[in-house]
Amino acid sequence: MLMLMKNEILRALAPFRRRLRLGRLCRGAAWGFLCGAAAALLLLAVTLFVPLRERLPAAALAAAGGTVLGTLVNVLRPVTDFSAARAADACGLQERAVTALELASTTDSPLANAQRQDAAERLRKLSPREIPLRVPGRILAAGGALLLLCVLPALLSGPGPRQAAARKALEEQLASFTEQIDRAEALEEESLPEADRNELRKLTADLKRELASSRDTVEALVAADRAENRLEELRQKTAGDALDAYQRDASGGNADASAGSGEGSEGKAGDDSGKTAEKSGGDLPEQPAQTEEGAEGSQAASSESQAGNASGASGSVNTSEASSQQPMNAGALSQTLSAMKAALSGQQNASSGQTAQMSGGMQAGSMASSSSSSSSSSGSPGSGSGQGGQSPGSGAGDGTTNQDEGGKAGQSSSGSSGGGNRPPEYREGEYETIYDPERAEAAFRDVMTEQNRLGEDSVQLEAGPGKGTLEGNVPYRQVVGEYAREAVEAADSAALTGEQRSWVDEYFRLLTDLQ
Amino acid sequence: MVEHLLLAVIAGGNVLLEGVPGLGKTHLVRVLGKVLSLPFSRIQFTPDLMPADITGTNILVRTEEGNSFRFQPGPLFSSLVLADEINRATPKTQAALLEAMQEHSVTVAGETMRLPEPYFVLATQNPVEQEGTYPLPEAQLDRFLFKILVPFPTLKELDGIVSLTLAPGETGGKQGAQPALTAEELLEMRALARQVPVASSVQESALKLVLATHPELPDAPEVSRKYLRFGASPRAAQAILSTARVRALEQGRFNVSYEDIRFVAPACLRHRLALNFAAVTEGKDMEQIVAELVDSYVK
Repeated sequence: MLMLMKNEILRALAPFRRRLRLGRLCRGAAWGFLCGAAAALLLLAVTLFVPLRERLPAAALAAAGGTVLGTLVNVLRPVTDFSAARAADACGLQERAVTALELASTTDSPLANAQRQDAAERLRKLSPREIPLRVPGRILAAGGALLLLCVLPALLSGPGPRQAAARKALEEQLASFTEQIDRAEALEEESLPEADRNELRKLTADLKRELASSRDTVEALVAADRAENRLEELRQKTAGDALDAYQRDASGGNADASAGSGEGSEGKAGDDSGKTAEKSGGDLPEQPAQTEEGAEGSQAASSESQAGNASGASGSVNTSEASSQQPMNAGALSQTLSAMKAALSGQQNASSGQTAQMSGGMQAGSMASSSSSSSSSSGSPGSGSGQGGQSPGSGAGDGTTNQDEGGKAGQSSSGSSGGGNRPPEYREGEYETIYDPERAEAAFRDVMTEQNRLGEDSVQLEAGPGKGTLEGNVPYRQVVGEYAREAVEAADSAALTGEQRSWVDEYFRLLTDLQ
Repeated sequence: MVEHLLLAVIAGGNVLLEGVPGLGKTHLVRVLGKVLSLPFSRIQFTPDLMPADITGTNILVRTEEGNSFRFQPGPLFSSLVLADEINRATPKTQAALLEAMQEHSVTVAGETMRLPEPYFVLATQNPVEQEGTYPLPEAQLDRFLFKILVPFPTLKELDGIVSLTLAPGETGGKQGAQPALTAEELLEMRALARQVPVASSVQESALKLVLATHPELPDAPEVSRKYLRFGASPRAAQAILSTARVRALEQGRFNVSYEDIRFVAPACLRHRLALNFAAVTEGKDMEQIVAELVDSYVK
């Protein structure tokens, strides 16, 4: 009997439990909406100063998430029978339901039974809709007001959104660069022996990883520069290996090598170059300036930008001949890197208000070599190439000039015929390495290394930046001082790091020391 | 007033009626006695009233065997006793009423005699003319289930009173009242009322209300600590719950509700609490304080 009565009471209370759960759902949604709107407003306000991509979707997600979470939390809370009974009693039952529930399992007397029956009857007659849902209208209004307030920070453009947009643009740009690097890598691999291809792949993989993790253009520039250095080292190594192989093949007293070495010696007499011609020029796998982007700038198969140092260094006819047989895709990666650096530098200069002169001076080689993707200050695309066109190696050291004046060293080894009076051929990417003072030390070291390795008083080829012949049809002496002065002034006024300024200073110091 | 009186009678408690003279307090009790078919007696308390005058005494009677003492019961030996102007009697006489009210027995000359059941004492007192009176001690006040305030009638009520009592042929109104209950039925109703269930939350609220009247307790509310000298005894909790049960039945329910507690609590508490000097100087009324406590603790 007791159990029957209890079940009857519980069945009568079921609609009221559902009604209470619905009320909790509404209240939870209201409170969650308020909290979500507050979170969205806070997020939008904070992201005015802290960059966050997709801030508007994030704010919308916060608002929606808060509503859902508030709803779930309240709905999942259990609704007890006693709470349902209390809610029903509040609708005029005068504690009938609660009393009946308490007596349901304990008391079995005529009066208690009468009370339970009376309570069950009253519960059946009472509509659950009489229990108010108690939706907090003020809370909903407050949430709506907060949501409307979100419009203000959403429309404002603070440093945060600008940074986020810049970051996004940078990432897209770097992604584009990465694709170009992949293409250039594929082309570059064709000009390398198998042993060095792995090194190249590792280089490009590291570069892509560093680009992906770059947070700003400076870091991307540093990564590109680092990759360029590594690429140059790789080319030097490749050229050295090729030279060794050539020498071994031509160990029977190659007159051409002697002649070339003689010329190269003469050329070296006046210069202290830093690189061996063989390494950088002559027999190196030809890396012509003709890349996908720089086809219009390249005139002949010249040594690659790294080899640009030594592009005229060897003076060896044989090296020149050998260089003319190099694959046409060498230098593609360098050009891509140059273009990338030009673009990033220009971007940085544009954002910091740098002068175009500084950009052109820093990126002369890249300007010459790249013609695409560079949104940089291509302010002097012509200057570099012009110089290069006339005398790509002028002032750049032995071998960088393509001029072949009797006995003169510094013949450009790659691309040119290696002899004769043909005008120097412009090689894309050449000037970047030629005018890179950072590699001055390295070039000298390489020469030393080469001498020691050979161990005999044989061909000693010197090539290096800043040690080329100053004669020629370029008024180098007349303008180098002015260029140096302007470059240093531009470096001081630009937003460069201390290290970058020192590069500029060292570079032009080396150039002026040639006089 | 009538409802409270009936509640108290069915619950088996004594009632203290307080009102100015001429409001019909005595008439009410007489009519109640007739309706309940209970023997009724009236005691007019005066300062010279002795305890033996109300309890009864042994008197010397002449019998065939000779002279002997025989107990002559006093007016207390009735089912319904009206103690009129109880505050005029001396404390000694008032104390004689205590045993009757609480124990329903009288002890005379060492001999305890039971009073008839049901037994009710309805006392009256005049709120004015306090000079020369003896205020009831707290111990005696605590034995009254209810203290009912008899307000002065309104214009409409006064018109009805006059019309009723001064109508031609009117002889006092007693003829209109007919017996409605017997003593046995009244006792059955009392037993039934004791079985009415009380929800734990409802009972808890009543108990918390009684505790709240004690200013010395740590959880006492501000109003108690500020205006009360002492609080209600456990008899107040018994009075509240027993009368609330009766009211629930009267309202057609089989359970006690918060509304019942709110209805009976003021009558149970107003004579069991004492105002302190701060309340008197600030002009605080006992009704205000009790109402504030009931609103706070009984939802």
